[in-house]
Amino acid sequence: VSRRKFLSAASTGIAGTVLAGPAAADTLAEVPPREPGADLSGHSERSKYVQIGRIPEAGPGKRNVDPSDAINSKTPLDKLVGTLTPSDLHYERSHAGVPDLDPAKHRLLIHGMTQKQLVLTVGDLKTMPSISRTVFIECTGNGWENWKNADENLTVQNTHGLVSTNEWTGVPLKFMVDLVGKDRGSTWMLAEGGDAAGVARSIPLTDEIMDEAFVAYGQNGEPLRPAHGFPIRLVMPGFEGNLNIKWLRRLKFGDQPWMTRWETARYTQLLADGKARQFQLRMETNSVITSPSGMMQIAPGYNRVTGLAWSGHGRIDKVEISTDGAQTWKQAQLNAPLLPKAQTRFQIDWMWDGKPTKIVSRSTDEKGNVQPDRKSFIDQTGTNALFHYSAQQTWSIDADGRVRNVLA
Amino acid sequence: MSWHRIVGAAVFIALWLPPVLAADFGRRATPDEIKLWDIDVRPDGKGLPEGGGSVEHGRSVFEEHAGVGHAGQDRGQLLALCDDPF
Repeated sequence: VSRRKFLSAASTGIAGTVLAGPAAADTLAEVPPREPGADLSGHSERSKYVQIGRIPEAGPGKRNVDPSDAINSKTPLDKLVGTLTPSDLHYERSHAGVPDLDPAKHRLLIHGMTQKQLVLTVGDLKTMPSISRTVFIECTGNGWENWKNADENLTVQNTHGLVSTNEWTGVPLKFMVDLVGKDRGSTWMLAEGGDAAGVARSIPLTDEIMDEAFVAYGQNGEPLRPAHGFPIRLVMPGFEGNLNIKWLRRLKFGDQPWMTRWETARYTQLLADGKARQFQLRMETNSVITSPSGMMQIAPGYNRVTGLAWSGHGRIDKVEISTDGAQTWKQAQLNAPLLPKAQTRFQIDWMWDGKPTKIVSRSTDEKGNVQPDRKSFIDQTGTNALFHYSAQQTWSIDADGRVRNVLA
Repeated sequence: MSWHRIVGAAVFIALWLPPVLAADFGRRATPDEIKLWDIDVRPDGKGLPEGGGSVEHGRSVFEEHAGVGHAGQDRGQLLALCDDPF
């Protein structure tokens, strides 16, 4: 492999653009000379050479919609490196727009089966002992484009852009539970948002949730962005995105689920036999190759295959990659740190011989859960369902190096 | 009391005290203001506001306030106006 070929292939992989675009300068003499730079500013913008953004979309197959009709906005996984999602590119799902909440006027009411009924301000929360944790949040609808068929024009942003990883800072739920003196008999908590939709979910108070849930006011080192719940939101590591209630304004303790519309009419899973499963709360073991991925084009020879793996059960233990359509598998390198319930970057180098093939990744988490192949997954769940699609993602590559979305 | 017993007692008290006093945070909610925000209703009806209603009464309320604007639209069309399907 010549050095130039190597550079060309590498830049294609990272930029996610078409093969052999405007090449780097051929000799150092062609590199533009130094010159004085732009003024310093109060806010760093992205390079004008970087084209990166989310895509607002509606339901499965409803793409290129007017933003007023969008129900979510997807993260450009194909253009990201590492594991952290920039705050402005974290995926968004909002059920009644993004409310404009004044933190000075916002209040959190905690009540129900408690010794005390408390009203807290954002300032109160910030004076409490805090934690920071890096976790993925994933919409239950992530992957829903591929339930029944695979549109070959989709990018990984279209197929898997409803998952992101940020560092969140806030107050452990446990601290607030002790503060109000929760009754021993209370086993469920209602969390309700301050959005016009009043999104509210019943949360079972398992040991795991009591240990890990927290109310966040910080996102990647700054106050939450409005689209992600400013001024405060619930963070539920490993569980459905919609449980991470944004614009949080009420926590109520009780002894049974409330059966809100968000867990009866919505966010239930229609099974093959026509029955619906409720409270499928945990996000499963998942992974996807982000480069090369849908709509990219690669050249024969050396290629870097990289992607992201995550699991609501804990740490990613292993990611395997097949470059021959799931016939043989090779273990990928995982980039440190390997954080529980956070996205993990994997990579492997690959010499492509130029023949049509299919590439696919398969993750295993620390609890031994293995991401299922498409066929086993559909055999188990049928195709009526809308949520929790976590089957292995296959990308086909034709003789010209064009990468396309396929079912398997 | 010996010196080390005093230290021991102090350590015991320090460990026993909660790390921060509960009274430091927020204020008590009044029953009236809780009522304003306590909008959830359980399947057994707990949480319903006082009063009563019926399907027939609901139909007449709808027709009085919204029926004119949505005349001729079926249930599916009305639902589509209210919400996205997911």
